Amino acid sequence: MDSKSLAHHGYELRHFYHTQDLDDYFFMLNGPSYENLVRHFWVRAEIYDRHAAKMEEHEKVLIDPTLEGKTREELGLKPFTCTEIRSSIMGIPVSIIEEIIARTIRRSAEGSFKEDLDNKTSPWNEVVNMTMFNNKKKGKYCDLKMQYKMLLKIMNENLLPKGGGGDQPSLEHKVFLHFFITQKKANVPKYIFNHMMWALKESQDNNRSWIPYGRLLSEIFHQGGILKALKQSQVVNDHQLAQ
Amino acid sequence: MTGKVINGHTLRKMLLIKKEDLTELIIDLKESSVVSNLMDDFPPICRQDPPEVRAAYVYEH
Repeated sequence: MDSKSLAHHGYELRHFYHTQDLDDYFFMLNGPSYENLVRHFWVRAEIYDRHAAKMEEHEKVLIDPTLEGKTREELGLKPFTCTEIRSSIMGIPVSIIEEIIARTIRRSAEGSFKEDLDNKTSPWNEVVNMTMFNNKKKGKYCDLKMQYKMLLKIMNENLLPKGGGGDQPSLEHKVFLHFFITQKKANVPKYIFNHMMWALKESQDNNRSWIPYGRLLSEIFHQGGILKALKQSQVVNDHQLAQ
Repeated sequence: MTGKVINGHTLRKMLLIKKEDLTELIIDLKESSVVSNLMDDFPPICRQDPPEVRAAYVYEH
């Protein structure tokens, strides 16, 4: 996002992102993406959550029923600490957690976060309608203020990318936008991490070939030392990285 | 590889400004392929050995 160009054309949005500590994030977004590595990561990615951890324990017990009732440690498993997106890049196992997102976008994982909202019954409906449309009733995209249309566009492209249907945000996305408009701090790293998991499930369950967060993932690989390691050991060359 | 930029042209495409109001500035953001500086205390993302060790192993085999 070129906030100066937008401001020059009458769309001053910098204060919305400054409040959310996202100046560094937008600066970081203007950088290289390593499509090959991102693709490698994405097609092999899986979500390791509490459910997956339980499945891991069940598998151990299935192999050796005498292990029934043992703790994870006794089963020879590492303790479950948090949800991860696990994958590998050219044979290197990679794990992304919320903290990694927070460090990469250079802001803390603090602020409001709302999920699992019921589209029909949630009291958030009225709140977001008031914020976005200045009306308790649900409005349409064309009823949005120009400035809010741009905030929605930037949210759909840079923060919670959907790859389509941008003019029909979900209630969760509207609440996220509400935090920006009202300048209340949202837990952006948590939103991004959860959205990444949602997009991953979409890719796997609905065979969507679209991959979000190409630049963010590239930066994670760079900061995490994956690029350096691959280059040093000549697993990939600059030409392959550039693709 | 770099991506698209949301700027004045985006506003024009969204019909939020008129064609004659679209101006390009010297300070307009240009796509950059410059990599950012490495952070000192970035948390590890490799689940097992350090990435250098794993990459060397992959190369050897």
